[in-house]
Amino acid sequence: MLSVQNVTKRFGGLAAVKDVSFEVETGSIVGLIGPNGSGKTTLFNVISGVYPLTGGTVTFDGRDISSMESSRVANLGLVRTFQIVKPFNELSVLDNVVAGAFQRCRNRDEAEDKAMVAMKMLDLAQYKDTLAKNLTLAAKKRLEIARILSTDPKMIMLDEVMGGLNPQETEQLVETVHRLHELGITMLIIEHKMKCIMELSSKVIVLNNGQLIAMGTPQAVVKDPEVIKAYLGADYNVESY
Amino acid sequence: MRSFLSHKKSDYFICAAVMLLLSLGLLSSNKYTLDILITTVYFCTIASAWNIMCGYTGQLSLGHGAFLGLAQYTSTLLYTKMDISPWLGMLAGGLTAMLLALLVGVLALRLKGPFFALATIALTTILEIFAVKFDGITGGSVGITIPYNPSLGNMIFKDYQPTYFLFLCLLALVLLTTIYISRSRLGSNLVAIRENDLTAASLGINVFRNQLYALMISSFFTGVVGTLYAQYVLFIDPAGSFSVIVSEKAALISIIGGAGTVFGPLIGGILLAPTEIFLRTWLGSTYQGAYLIVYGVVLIFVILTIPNGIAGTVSAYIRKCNCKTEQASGDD
Repeated sequence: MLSVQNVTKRFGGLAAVKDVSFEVETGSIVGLIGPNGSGKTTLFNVISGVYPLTGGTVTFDGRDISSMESSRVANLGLVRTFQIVKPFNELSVLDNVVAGAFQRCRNRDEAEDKAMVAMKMLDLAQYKDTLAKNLTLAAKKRLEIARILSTDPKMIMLDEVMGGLNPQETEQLVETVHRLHELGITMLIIEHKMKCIMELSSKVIVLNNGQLIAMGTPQAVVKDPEVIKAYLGADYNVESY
Repeated sequence: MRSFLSHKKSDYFICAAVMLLLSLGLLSSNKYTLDILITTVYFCTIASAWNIMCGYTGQLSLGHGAFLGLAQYTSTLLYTKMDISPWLGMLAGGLTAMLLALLVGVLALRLKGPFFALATIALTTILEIFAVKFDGITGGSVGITIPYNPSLGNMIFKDYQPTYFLFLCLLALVLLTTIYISRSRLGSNLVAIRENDLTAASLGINVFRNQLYALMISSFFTGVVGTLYAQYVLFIDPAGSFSVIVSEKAALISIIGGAGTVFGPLIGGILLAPTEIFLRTWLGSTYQGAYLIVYGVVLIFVILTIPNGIAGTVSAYIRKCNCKTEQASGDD
């Protein structure tokens, strides 16, 4: 579904992403891990069209999206959340999600119905009239997902949606992500919580200093000596969140 | 779903009620009263048109005078030089203003915040200079006096009531358009852009195109109301038409009333326009320009105490009350 070929992104002399290639197969969940500053979010920004890429190509669903604006990419069905949540603060939760739903609906009734479906899936229905700025962090993270879900995506990219959540909230969100996957949505997930990555993804990609250092099944990747050295550390234990 | 329906209905209801209240003025034949009413509705309409672009997208335009002036010159020149009825001229003026919005939007909508505001001020000033320098067509600084030939076809009337009626119709049209937009996809997109343009784009909203649509709609109505006003005062000149002050007033009225709400500009206009006329007659004879100081003080006060404007503050208060009653009934 998504194919990234030799993608490079430079900021001046600094190469934040260097010659990265990988595929995300239709219907799969791919995890993207790596230490802070390794270029994960930059890679998301390059794929989703927030930054123009310096080199390489990105194809989504058979179309070259390398030089497309982010709104066009989203219209094709590839949407993403932001690591630092960006709710429309002064709008109600419903209006936040409606803004997404309107990308596929002509009139407001239809958009509101679609928005409510997405909100129910993410346990947000009871907050429908609350202003987004008054939500807890956990609810804001769910709002980000509900908002992109209401655009009927083919594939979603989640940027650390579990970050900052307590174990219970994390577990609920992992369950939700499973449910979204069952709906047939392909996913690329950035996450630091290794247990989530192990539970969710069928393939894991590891970045370090902008370069791809390992790719494979989660079980294989966590045993890779280079990954342990660069990211996980010698005393790594999968069980903790 | 139900709350949305009732919300929509209540918007139309408030709109009808206000229009009915304002149309009581038609019963008066006092020219001074009607002049105050006409000026008030004129500013309400400009502010409401400004609000469609700037209130909803959060882009600050201080140059709506450019659209207003261009439309006034279009309709007036068509009428005085080519004898084309102002009724057609009004439409032509609106469309010219829209065309200007398209050209300017393509260039200036890449800018944000103060830079966009500066670009719009520059636009107004440039057009004013054009109007002065091309005096062969525009009459230069002297302006153009529209000959007083009262008739329906010339859109010039002996009494003030028909003019006032036309202004009311236009205000109603702008308000209905605003209500429609606020519930439509365009409205939802514009508000999303105002809140965070990066996120809006990530959802698939074309930020540039949506802002351009809003600017074109907004400038069309600004142009139309401008031509109507020109047919009322029967005189246009560069300083009055391409006025930065009028542009700023459109912004001030909306901000004080509540930008980005349907009725904010209306509330702002109804409060500020008569106040200004009153202050000008009261203070103007002794201290020229003193009313502007009072105006400034009011603006500072509003921004310090109720930054969301009157309508914004009231609706936040209503939402709070609703939440409380819902909670209370939930506890039962």
